[in-house]
Amino acid sequence: MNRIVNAFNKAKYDNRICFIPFCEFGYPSLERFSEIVDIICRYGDIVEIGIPFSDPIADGPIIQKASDIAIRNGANLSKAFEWLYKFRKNDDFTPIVFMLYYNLVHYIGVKEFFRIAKDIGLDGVIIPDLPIEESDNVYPYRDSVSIIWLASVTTSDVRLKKIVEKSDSFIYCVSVKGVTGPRDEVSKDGLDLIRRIKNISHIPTALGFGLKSKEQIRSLVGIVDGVIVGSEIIRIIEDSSDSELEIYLKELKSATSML
Amino acid sequence: MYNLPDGRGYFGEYGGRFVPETLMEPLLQLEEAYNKVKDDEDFWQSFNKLLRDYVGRPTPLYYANRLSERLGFKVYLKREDLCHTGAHKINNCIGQALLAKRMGKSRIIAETGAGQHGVATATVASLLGLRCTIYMGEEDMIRQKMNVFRMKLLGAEVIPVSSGNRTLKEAINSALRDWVTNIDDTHYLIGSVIGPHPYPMMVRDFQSVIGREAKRQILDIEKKLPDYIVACVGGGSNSIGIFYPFLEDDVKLIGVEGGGLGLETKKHAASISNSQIGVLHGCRMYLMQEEWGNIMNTYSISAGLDYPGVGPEHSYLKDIGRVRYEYATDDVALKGFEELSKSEGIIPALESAHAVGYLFVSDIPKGSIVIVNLSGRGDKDLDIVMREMKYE
Repeated sequence: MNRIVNAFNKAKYDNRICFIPFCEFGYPSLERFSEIVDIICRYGDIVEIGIPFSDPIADGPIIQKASDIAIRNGANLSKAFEWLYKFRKNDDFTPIVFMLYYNLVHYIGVKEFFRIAKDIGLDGVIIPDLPIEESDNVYPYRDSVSIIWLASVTTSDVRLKKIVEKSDSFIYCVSVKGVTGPRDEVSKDGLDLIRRIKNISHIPTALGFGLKSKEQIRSLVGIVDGVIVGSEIIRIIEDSSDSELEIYLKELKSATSML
Repeated sequence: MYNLPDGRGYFGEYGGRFVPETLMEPLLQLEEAYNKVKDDEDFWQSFNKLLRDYVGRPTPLYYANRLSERLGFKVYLKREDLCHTGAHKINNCIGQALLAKRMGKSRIIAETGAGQHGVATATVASLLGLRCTIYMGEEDMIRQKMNVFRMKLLGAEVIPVSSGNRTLKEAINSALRDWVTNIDDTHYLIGSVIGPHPYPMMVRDFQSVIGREAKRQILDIEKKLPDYIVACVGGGSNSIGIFYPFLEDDVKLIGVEGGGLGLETKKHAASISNSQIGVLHGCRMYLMQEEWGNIMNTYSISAGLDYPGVGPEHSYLKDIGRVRYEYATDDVALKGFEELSKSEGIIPALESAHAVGYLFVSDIPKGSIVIVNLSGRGDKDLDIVMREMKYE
């Protein structure tokens, strides 16, 4: 958790917002994934890693497909933990967050999940199918691992308050009604959600679902504390070379600066 | 007194609301709307009127004379196969569609496995003037092509789902993704006692008309309650519908899951008999999984039972020992299918044939009184049975 908090503080100090790129564990292959994470770590302030699941109901077609391919490659939570354990031997500073559906946590047991996560240096988890009403299932067991709650454009002020109260690193703001996937514009409702959170709390906010371009990110600087880009990165990994991925990440990263 | 689910939508440790954040507000609105109509006489009057005039309720409780003679105990069939559209599914569709209208929704979406729930939803949509989209696995569309045509004829759009096993589980994933995108004008009409709270409660309430009628009817005929009630269990809507009004009575309740090619082959859909617990489609329940928590691809000859989970209330009733859960393999179901057709002139749905077939392998004592919920009729399954039984 501390690594995440530090990342937001450092970005603020540098007059930037946090850049949070996403990639899928085991995609496009287990070996290539490790190489891609190394590239992504050069630009990401925090790196979000999706753990593949057979039924990703919050995801659009791009991440669904990546998740299916990753499962076929033999990727699973156990291997993701192994990967992180090795990764931490060389990189003790990049904040790593896992995005995974609740059944994967439930399967190994919530206590066991957080015990391993803490031991190997996982900083946070995003569980897209676990709303605040179900927080009792996980909250008491989290220890130093941050649970990053999601808030959506449909979240009422009453529930937003509960989400803010349980948040300790940042809030993942879902900018649209819908599933993950690139969209052309940043929704007004998304901006309104950020404002509603800012009105009641100083907790950092990061906007996700639908972001893909440097123009979108530039328009969010000064409004939100972080931006999450997922599907578009997966699309580029599928279609393009490492150097093109690097150019893309570099562009997005530079768009996060206030200067 | 049995009074579940609790305020958070739990039946013991099963149920809950495990959904993306965007769906929480529509679920809370749905719960509120449903709680409001619970005591609204107008609502139940419209519901009951449609059940009577449109669905054809009450459905008969029929004494199966020749079948009883063969088995040595008295078998009564609750004839849900005589409902309009050929299965019990429509009871719940009428209830939810009336509620959706009250909530000002103009579009309903649904998943379907065998196609019975899709047909019932499309039917009710056309009855009430709602737009309708049905998600159906590509594999199921091949297995049940007549039902696909029926839905289209009724004015619904049928969207093929090509991910995963291309069956019911994937159709629900797609319907949930549609709902999260279109929550303003759309109601998701879930067809079974699964999904996030309030669905398992609401669908049970709408389906429990089956058990209330059956209770009245058996008391009329036999002047006492039955010894056993037997029903097939996929997600579990027809079974909970007939069990629920008997939960506090001295009646043995037996749910029959889809045993596929046998439990040892792993090609089956008997979630409770399989004993694993997990979370999918919004609720915690008995759920068939692979190592590390991916959901297992299930198999049953009957598309309507081909689902890896079972409703949270069933999961609870299993744990407290109130309902006994057994399974019938494809072969046992086919025997039930044939026996009922030949001895009573009633061709059952393959789902219901699991309950009928179970009677032939059960330990039900001679002389007992047994009610079987005949949840649907078999027209939709003739192709499959023809192939399986090598009829010419």
